[in-house]
Amino acid sequence: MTGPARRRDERGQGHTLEAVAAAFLLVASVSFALQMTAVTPLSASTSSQHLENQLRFTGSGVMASVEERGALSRAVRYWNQSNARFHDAPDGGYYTTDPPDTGFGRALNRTLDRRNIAYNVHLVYERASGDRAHKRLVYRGEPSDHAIRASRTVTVMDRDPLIDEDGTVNGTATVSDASTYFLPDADPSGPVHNVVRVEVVAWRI
Amino acid sequence: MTERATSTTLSYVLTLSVATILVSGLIFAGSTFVEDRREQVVRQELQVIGEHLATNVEQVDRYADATDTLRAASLEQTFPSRVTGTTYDAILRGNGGDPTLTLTASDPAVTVEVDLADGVPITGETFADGGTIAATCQISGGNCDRIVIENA
Amino acid sequence: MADLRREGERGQILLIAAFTLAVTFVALALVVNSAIFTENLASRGEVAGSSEALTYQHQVRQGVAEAMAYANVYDDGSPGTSLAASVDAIRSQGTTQQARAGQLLDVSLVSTTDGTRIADNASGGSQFLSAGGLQEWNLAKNVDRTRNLVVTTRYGDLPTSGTPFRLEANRTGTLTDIWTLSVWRDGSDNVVVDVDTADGDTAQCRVDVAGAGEFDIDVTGGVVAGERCHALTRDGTAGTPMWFATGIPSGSTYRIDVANGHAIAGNYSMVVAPRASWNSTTLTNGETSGPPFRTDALYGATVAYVYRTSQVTYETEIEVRPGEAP
Repeated sequence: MTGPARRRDERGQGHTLEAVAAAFLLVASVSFALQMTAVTPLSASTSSQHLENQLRFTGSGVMASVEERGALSRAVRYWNQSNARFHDAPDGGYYTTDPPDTGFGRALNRTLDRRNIAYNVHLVYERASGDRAHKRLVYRGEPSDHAIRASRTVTVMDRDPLIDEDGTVNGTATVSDASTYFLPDADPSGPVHNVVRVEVVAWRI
Repeated sequence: MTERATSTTLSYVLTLSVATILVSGLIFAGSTFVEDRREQVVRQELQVIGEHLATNVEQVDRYADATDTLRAASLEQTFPSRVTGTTYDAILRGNGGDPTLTLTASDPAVTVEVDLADGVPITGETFADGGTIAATCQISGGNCDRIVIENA
Repeated sequence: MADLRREGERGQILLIAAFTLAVTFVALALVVNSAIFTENLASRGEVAGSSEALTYQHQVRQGVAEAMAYANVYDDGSPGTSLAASVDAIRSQGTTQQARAGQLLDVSLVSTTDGTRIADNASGGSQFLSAGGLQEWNLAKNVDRTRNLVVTTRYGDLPTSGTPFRLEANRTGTLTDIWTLSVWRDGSDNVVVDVDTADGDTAQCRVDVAGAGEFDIDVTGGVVAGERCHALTRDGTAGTPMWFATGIPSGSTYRIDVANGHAIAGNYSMVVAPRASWNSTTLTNGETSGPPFRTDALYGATVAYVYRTSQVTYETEIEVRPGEAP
């Protein structure tokens, strides 16, 4: 009489256990499946990949158009000899809120400033000893994570003249004469003064 | 002993078989669903890889056009060697003036074709497995005769 | 007893079903993961450095062209040495800068072509007369190509429309084989540039040079006082080519003649191909002998360019032809 009753109890617990195990397995696999659609680099955020791609093309487009017109070389030579800094630059020697009043500065303002894109412009060059030196032209702050960089190289020759504040060529001072000019003569025996790399780092704010 | 009209064995077999049929139907639908989705994803991924490869081939053609005398031009990119668990390969065909790039996955068997611009100098057929694929110019006399793809 | 057994079987089947669904979900996880990865792969841009290879080649070409023009003007005693030194400087600095960005770069001078530079560089400008004082004279003969033809002048030194200054590229003397450039001022602060090609097309452009002081007319480049002149480049909606010496079949040579040279004052400079010849009575030899003079100059150069990263290989030989009309 007790035999079958005992079997009934044990099987009841076993069945419950199986049902619980089945339910648990199902719930665990569903939650695993839901977790894999996580945040990816393409999710809409301030650091998405599409944003970075778009910025990169805008930046390289600005640099290409500026290079065609010779405006980069003029921007590098827009130097005020008496103040030993760029024309109209504030005390630090680099521009902060307004870009320089050259063709290059105007192109940057037209393309980047109006789209709420902040940028830094660095000038990278070499000294005669072979050390690398770097000077800020425009500095707006620390770039964010999705910042891009576009750069172009400009060759400056020994007898290239400096550019005055109004944009005209200075008839007397050349790049090698000017004692306060930031760019040293990397090749004193040859006609090339220096090869400068103009880098623009841009990011959205 | 029992008051039922049907026999125990019959009802037992019926219940079991209905439950089994339901469950196997569920399993079958589930696996078909997964297979179908997998084929879609493989097709999409092959399309993306094909477009990237075609861009590389056309960029090498642009390298050749940008200069008068070419000495070497090649561009390589590392693609994933498996897409959704299956391997694939790429074939670049000249087709006598209408070049195409065909990518084929092995299992599920999916084929994707990408068209290239007409002026690109491709003759014959060249073949590369999924992984690192390089597009190279074969040069003769300072000109790009033919663009081939190969595993780097 | 029979009822109990039926319930037991159903429990086990439920477990199997749950297990199968779990496996299906895991398989789907793989598929969804691949789909997300595909989207990421699709958003990636080009291979790093692939377009940089082309833009850097363009910059090297510009840099060497500038160095060549510089060598022709300032180091005309030995322009070849000056150019070699410049290319060396461009190479060593460019190499170091690019190496820091993970790219191998090499630029080297392969060969140069010598030509002749004909110029008048009198400070303050002088009339465009020959060395013997002639107003209508022949600058050079047997010219098959001219590069970097630039005239620098002031508004006040330009002739009036009655006696325009003319520069001709003349093949045989018949009207269908002459390309003529005429320059005059129109009295309202505009310089007028008029071009008649050997094909019979004609065009004119007017550029306002009020307050510009000294300005350049870049004949081969098609730029007057900093603005593109359609009469020197392409005219009209059809884009008729008006470039220097258009209409003269390539392969044949022409002479460059000046007319009304007394009516204009300023400076000019051009570099002609090696085959050209000139009269010793119309041009002096060497810059120090006084304007107008001819001197040895660099006409063209070939530069070997190498650009390599771990994924890109690009090696070419660039032809540098500064100031050549297309």
